[in-house]
Amino acid sequence: MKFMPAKLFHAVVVTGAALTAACAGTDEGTDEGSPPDEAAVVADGQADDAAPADDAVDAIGAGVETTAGGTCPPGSERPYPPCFWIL
Amino acid sequence: MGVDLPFDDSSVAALSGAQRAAIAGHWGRRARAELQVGRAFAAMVPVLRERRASRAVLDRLERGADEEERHSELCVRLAETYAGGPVQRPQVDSVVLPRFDVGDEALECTLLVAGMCCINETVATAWISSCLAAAEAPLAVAANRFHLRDEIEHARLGWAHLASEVVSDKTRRALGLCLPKLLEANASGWERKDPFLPDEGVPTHGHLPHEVSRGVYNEAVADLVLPGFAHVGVDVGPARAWLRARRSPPTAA
Repeated sequence: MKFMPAKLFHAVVVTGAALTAACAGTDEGTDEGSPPDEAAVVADGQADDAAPADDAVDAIGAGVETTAGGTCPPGSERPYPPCFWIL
Repeated sequence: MGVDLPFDDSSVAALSGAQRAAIAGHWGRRARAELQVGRAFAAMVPVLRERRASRAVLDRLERGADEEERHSELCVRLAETYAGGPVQRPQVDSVVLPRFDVGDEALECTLLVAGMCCINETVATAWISSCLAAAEAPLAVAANRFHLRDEIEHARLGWAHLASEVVSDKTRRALGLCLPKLLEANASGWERKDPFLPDEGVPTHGHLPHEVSRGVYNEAVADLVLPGFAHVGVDVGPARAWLRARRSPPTAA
């Protein structure tokens, strides 16, 4: 029941970031920024922006909402309102 | 807006009445959640347009608003399938976007994208992947695949925006300091117990045991979200410290 972080990271983050011009340092892949086994991600701008999400789902193989009236995390205060919606 | 899934899946009828009611309740509630996200995406379009977000991001955001509405419709169909009859359709005409009141409109917009897309939608991809991995019933497999495909795109648009030139280094630096509270605000939605599902879930139909579901958030933050922010040049040091602290609560003396 475990998601596959390396494949998801590539499908979501690397491909997503490649959709627009990368910022300085984006393609450096810092040690802290790379999950295990994720060192060999495809370089930004190479093929990823064409990878459809369907392919990503295949590769992965495989309600909840926070409303303005929802539970506020203990100790939280503005400017971080608990009004995020999820999914 | 019909979605072609195996709604005649015979494994639904094999469930107990209580399980069917629980799963129907989950999908009914989720239908509203998906619609709220769709409305939020729609409301974000003019905000990002004003910040001169790239066409790639704006197009995906507009599409995302429609896709979340389609998700909601699918959730209603799923709820009806498990309930064995009609369920109430959610009605959400619009939502008010969160305001962070940071006194910096560039950061304000970036926090919105970071919260809604980079954190929420990325965690959603991990959570739905886990649901998909557990699912065996054909309907559950198909539904989770359908959702996952779109959530990947919605997460991508957030990372695309953060990687783009319209987000300055100054804003990225400010975002790094905001991440712990942003993550904390998002966590409660993911870790809250589903009011309909049993603690043990119904894994074969893609509904994880509560403790497994709850654990996805921390793992997704550690393995996807924080590496993602680092990937686009945001300092994740404060957020890593936050995550370490929440994974290792202080022990009683």
